[in-house]
Amino acid sequence: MSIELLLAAALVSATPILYAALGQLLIEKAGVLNLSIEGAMLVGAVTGFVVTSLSGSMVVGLVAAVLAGGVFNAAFAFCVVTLRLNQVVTGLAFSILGAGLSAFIGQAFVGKALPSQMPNLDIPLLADLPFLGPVIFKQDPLVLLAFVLVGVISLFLSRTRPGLLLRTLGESPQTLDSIGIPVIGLRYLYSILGGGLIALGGAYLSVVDTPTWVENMTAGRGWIALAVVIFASWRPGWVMVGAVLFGLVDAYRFRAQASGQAFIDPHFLNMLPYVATLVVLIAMSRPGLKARLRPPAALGLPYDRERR
Amino acid sequence: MSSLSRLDPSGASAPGGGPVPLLAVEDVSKSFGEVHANTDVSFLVPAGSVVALLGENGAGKSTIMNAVCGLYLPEKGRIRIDGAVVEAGSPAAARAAGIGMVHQQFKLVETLTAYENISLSTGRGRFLQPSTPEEGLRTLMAEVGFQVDLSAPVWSLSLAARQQLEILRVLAQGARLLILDEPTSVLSPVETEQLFAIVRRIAASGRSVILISHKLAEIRDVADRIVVMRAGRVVFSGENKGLSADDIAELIIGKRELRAGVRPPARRGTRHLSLSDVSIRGRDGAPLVRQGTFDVHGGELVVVLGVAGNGQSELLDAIGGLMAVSEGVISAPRVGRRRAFAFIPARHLGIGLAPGLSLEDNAMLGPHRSGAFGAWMPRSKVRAHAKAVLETFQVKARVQSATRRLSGGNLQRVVLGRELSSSPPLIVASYPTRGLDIASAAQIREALVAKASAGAAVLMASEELDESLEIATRILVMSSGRIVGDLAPDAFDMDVIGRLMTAAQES
Repeated sequence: MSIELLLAAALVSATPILYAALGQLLIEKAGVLNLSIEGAMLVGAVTGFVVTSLSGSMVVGLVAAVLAGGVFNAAFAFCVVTLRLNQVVTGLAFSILGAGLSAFIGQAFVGKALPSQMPNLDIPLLADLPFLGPVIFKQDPLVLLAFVLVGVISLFLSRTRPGLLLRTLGESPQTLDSIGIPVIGLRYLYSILGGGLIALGGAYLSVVDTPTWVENMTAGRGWIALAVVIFASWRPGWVMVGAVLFGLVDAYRFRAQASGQAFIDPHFLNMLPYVATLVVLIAMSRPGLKARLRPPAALGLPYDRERR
Repeated sequence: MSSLSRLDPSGASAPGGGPVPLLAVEDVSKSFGEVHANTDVSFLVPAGSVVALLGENGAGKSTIMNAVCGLYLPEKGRIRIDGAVVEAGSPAAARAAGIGMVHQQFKLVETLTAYENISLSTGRGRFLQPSTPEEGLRTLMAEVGFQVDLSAPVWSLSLAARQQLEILRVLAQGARLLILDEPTSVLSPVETEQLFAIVRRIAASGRSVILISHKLAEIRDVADRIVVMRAGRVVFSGENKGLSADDIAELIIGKRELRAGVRPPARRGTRHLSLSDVSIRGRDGAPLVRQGTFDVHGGELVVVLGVAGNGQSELLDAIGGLMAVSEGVISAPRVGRRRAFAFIPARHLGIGLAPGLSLEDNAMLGPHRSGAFGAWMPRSKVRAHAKAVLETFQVKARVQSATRRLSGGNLQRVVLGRELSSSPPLIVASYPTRGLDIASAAQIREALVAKASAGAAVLMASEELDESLEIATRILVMSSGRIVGDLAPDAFDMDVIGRLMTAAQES
């Protein structure tokens, strides 16, 4: 098989993970531990598919998916930011809720096809580049957008004042509170933005990649995105690396199954993202580790001004 | 000496003439419930001066500074900056007036760089975040002589550098009155000198600095003026010049009557606790206890005295097994690796007692290993044991009630009752009377004296001079992690102990 085709397929497989992981990154940088990610991806996937098939417009479907993800996460934020419920338990509950909700909404649409497919980009000159052309520039626009977003979020975090505030939000919310910046409001904002991105990842699967709706179609990609964020130690560039690595494994697995012969057992490969995450977590537990590789200090802790 | 115990009537400026002081605190009173933390506190801070605010724990230093910063709303009195009254109880108004405080606990975000930390409060309204400091900040750094690498993340900075960064941040926000709360507590002597050099340059730039401290020797070198507080009142305010260390120590401690003690008879029994060259380091590597060496024998009641934060609680925690010792040996009664003596930690809830369990369950924690109970614990036996524990100090509560509902005094009684139930040869108690009302404290003191009289070795930490002088057969004074005094009752002297407690350590 050609390396170009494998890489191109890897980027497509990486795209939903990348959207979800970038969304998760924003939420966790804000100090909210979002374990509802798999549920939000499924809500995005079903909303995207249903609205696209009803409206006939892929754009409308994708926008609806982003909005649905935002609403889903706003509800999650209400529970964990405003009501300050336990984030682990609430997140798992929302994950299961999202799966059930998506199966319920999508039951009439199982097995249906979408009227159209997203056209691939054909950017003049760039698409004609050897190697890079077919790998990057002959993809659908959402693939390219995902990788552009990596750069945008990276610059946002390191080079802008709102990015500085976001980094502080997950580290030391009381510092922001003491200079008069609304901690609760910002946590809602990033929960909703992140939820939109996570849902877009789900909708990419059902609307662009497959395109079809099957119950529970994300098949654990939300958890992989969660793992990728930890693997990347909350750094956008490394999130991209993690997502592409997963994409490669996925693409290889697909090829191996299609051709019937595999150099490495695909089931073994399936397990690797989680093994990598465990290794990173163990490495992170070492005391001498640099602080910038550690999770945001306030991750998972509800903010309550009265209890400093 | 009595002439010093009056307020200096002249103040910094003659009324009706002379320069207006930068800060004027006028008749401020603040109470918390029944406790009068500040009573008619007045003092002046002239522009360009360094003022040391001195006093024992609980003298009201922090309260008045929090009032100046707008964190507390005083019941009475005014705070003026340049003669203009600052709105009381408003941190924003205080900040706008140019008042800035560096707290003992630094408020820096560890993962951000030094510059980003400053930028959080100074860079309002911009979108792009520069990675290098702006001109104004660099000028300020040069002017005051800071040596901080602004591009380094805070976690990589030493405590001294973090402190400089905090000061720089407050100055960058436009503060003209800088308040430093116990600034030398985290510093080595060399770093302290560097800090004072910076403080002098800040004062030379026309700003003023208030240093809150209990380390006399250091502060005397840098302060122009001294304000001493005792029991919520200002007992002295005036020039530093012409005061000796003894004068100031006496102002801080005051004249008190030594009460005739009801101490245990001084009989030395067998040695139950022995420390040799015990050093303890904090998680950041800073030394908390340095080379502690002493023994405690049966029949002795040894009190560890010191200003809070000088290593007393860490020393007792290490004896009780709550902290690891970095060097040296502690030998105390043990059965296997288990502690076989009574230990009363400073925090009852959470360490001494499990707040969510009932009193009868808490009474079992520890004694459950004694021979009286096997793997099977019949409720009737457990209940009888709990009742006995509660009766030791007459705690009026049902054995099934939740532990967290008890008052502080009762919690202490339960812990003591449990720990003393097995007649231990050694009792180690960390601040057993802290926060208790007079009657409860007296009851607990009597119990400890009785145990020592009966032959047990007792080691306790205390913040209360009076209490310690009354009951101790020996007093150990700690300062900067070192045991600087080991005194027998005939050597108990308020002045000596006060000076030992407040003396800075020569290194």
